[in-house]
Amino acid sequence: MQRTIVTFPMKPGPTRHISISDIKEMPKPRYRSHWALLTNNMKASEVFYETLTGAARIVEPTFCTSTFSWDEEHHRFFFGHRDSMAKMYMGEAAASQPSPTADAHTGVAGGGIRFATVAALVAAVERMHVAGYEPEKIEDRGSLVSVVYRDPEGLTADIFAQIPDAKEKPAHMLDRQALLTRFGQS
Amino acid sequence: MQAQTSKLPEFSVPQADRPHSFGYQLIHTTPDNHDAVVKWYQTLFCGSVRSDAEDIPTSDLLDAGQETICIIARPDLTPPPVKMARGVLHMAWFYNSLAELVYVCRHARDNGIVPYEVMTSPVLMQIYFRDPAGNVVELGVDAHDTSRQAQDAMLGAADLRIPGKIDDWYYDLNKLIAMLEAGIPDHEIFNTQRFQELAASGRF
Repeated sequence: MQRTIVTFPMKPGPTRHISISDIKEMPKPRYRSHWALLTNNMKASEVFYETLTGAARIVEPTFCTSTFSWDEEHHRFFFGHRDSMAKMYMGEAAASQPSPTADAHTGVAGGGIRFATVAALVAAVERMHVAGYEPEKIEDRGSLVSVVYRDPEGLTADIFAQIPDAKEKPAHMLDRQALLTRFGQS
Repeated sequence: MQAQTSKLPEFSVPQADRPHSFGYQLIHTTPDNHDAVVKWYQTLFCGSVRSDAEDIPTSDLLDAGQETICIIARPDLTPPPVKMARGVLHMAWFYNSLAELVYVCRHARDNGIVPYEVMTSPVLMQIYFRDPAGNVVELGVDAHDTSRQAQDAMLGAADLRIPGKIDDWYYDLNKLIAMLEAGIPDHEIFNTQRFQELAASGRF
């Protein structure tokens, strides 16, 4: 399976007002701002990401859209009702065509969400467990632990955090209890 | 666009337990599209490319100052059978200044990557591209100086009402680039009515 990784640096910082003529090198993005997701079950997707990230509802710009954020960013998630938006942009016929979940076809398949601490990651796993979501995979890479969920639309949601003062080692799988035993507070 | 809520966000999870940032992005392509998709992202972001990696290296994941896009050719998958399929509608990267955003768009245009929509509002400017597989990338910039101000503006219903006609929200990229090159200040660019007046003036 052919796999390629494209990397580029980012440059966090406040919004600036500069002249385009002052730019001497290719600008770097400040950050990844948000994912915009299409779903036919708004509530299921909203609750999944609310639970995973602790995001709060920001605004509902229209009857079929909502935005959530986990920090000061104006939105980290945009949720749109797929059939309603398809009807709005492409008409009734397009909206009536059934859409399979994201894991049934090519496209953006999901991604990672970084937590600052393992404690925050474990707290997220516990929130998810209480809400009835279990991960597909928990991987300990020595210097990093990753917990992979599948969202209601079939997207990979991989939450991960750095293990302080630890060295990278070959990955091995954990279950939730082993994760709690190794990294939980109790 | 009339917002329906205007409350401050009510987080049920302490800040320390919420995420730091997005990590990597995962894209599945058909094998015949793989190389074109890789080249597209490499060009748009002036990125570095590493092939045949077994997995995303841990060092890449831990580097919060670096973006990582993993593109995997999947012979077992086909493109979505419908437009606007369930899943990711778009992924968005934001820049620190309008000038930087427009600089990147000029670079993209000069390399054959042209957005299909340039849209602005009092909160942000959004420029949408499609990669060769049809995945949508949004490049944007906040109209406000800080994220808090931008979020406050989105939370405030009145600030989401865009003056003028809906058609005024959509900008011509080449005129946008020309205005920035001519030194038109950001606040005039973000003012949709002013932008359209300038666009119609024949100067750009």
